[in-house]
Amino acid sequence: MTTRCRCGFFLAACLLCLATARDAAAHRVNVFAYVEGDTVHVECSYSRSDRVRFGDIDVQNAADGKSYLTGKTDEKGDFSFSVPPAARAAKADLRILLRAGEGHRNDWTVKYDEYAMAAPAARATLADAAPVAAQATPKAAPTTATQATPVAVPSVAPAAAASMDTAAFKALLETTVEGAVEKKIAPIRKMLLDDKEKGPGAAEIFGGIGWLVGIAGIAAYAKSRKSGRGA
Amino acid sequence: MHISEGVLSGPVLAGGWALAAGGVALGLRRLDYDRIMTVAILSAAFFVASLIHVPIGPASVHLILNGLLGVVLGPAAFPAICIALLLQALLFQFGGLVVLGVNTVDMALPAVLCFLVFGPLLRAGGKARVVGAFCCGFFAVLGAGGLTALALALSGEAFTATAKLILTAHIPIMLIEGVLTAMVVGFLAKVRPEMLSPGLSG
Repeated sequence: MTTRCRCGFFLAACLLCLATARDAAAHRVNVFAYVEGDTVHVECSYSRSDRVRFGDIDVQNAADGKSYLTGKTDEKGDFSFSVPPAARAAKADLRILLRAGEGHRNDWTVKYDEYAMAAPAARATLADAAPVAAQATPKAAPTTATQATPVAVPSVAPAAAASMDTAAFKALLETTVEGAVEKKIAPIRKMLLDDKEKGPGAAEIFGGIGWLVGIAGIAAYAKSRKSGRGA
Repeated sequence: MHISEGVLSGPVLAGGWALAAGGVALGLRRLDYDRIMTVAILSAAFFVASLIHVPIGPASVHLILNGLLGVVLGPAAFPAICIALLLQALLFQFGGLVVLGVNTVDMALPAVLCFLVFGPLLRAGGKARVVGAFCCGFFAVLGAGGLTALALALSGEAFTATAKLILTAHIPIMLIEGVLTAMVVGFLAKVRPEMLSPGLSG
């Protein structure tokens, strides 16, 4: 019995040494997508250092599975696309489906609210803020659209004058705040991404081994009762 | 080698479950009281093995160890692999619960077949056993790759292209596992012959 234990420990020790020596991560693909202005950025990876090169991307309507566009990731596992107008019109959630080949597949959903709020980033400059805001309203989120439209439409002509009216100010403020928030949350997004790409940690590994020992114990107990050996 | 959720078609998933259930039932029926701990230890080895990563070119492959489980456990490799895959799916999010049946068959069936085919070599002892163990490690991975490609092909992917991709990526793993299995079997035969499947000790 002692020798058997030693064998088991030897085997387990070898494997654990190997497992911890390498950057532990394995075959599961990760997809992560975020919206920046009108563009959706997709990052695909097996692990932090191992990107999905040339994986197939399929952007679909999350509700009915209708495909808007397809593409391939680049060398670094990245893929970017501008929000399809059809999706914007349909207020659809976008499901970004990654097929990395050999049976590896994962998806990520970008909600309508996410890209609707991050409206086209064309309203940046002060001078053309008002006219652009008026153009942008049909594309913008329902809340901003309903607030902005009644004020913006009549104000296009006077906005050419030096004085800045409320609509232009609102648009400028919105753009500025959006930009600032974007800058602030960038590190948080990076953190989320890193966390998602992290392989299983010690807790999962030892937990799993514990489960196996427990199951073996239960099996041994059940068998011993059946055969009357343990009684 | 883990097939993700949502890739395979319904009939393939159902077929995988049926075969896996048969294999697990057979393995459990043959399982001897004294060998429960051996099964658990090897199941744990399999569970951890897929964290050991070998980067090869653009792809990266991990150890599988299904050949080793076949050599040591015989038909009991089925329940051992099934439980280890279940835990990998739950704890690591490798593979998935619905595809568990197919994944179990992909890895356990070649292992048990290798055990049956190379059994005589393993029992012969000496050099023949080393060769047999190497073959088990090598061909179990080969078979697993073939079955994975087959499962994907039955669900619509082109078989030859997928199989070629998977198998070429796994050639180094086949060699590594062959050598590893031969070493472990040699070690066990010397130190604890009865840990090898009954009748295999030289």
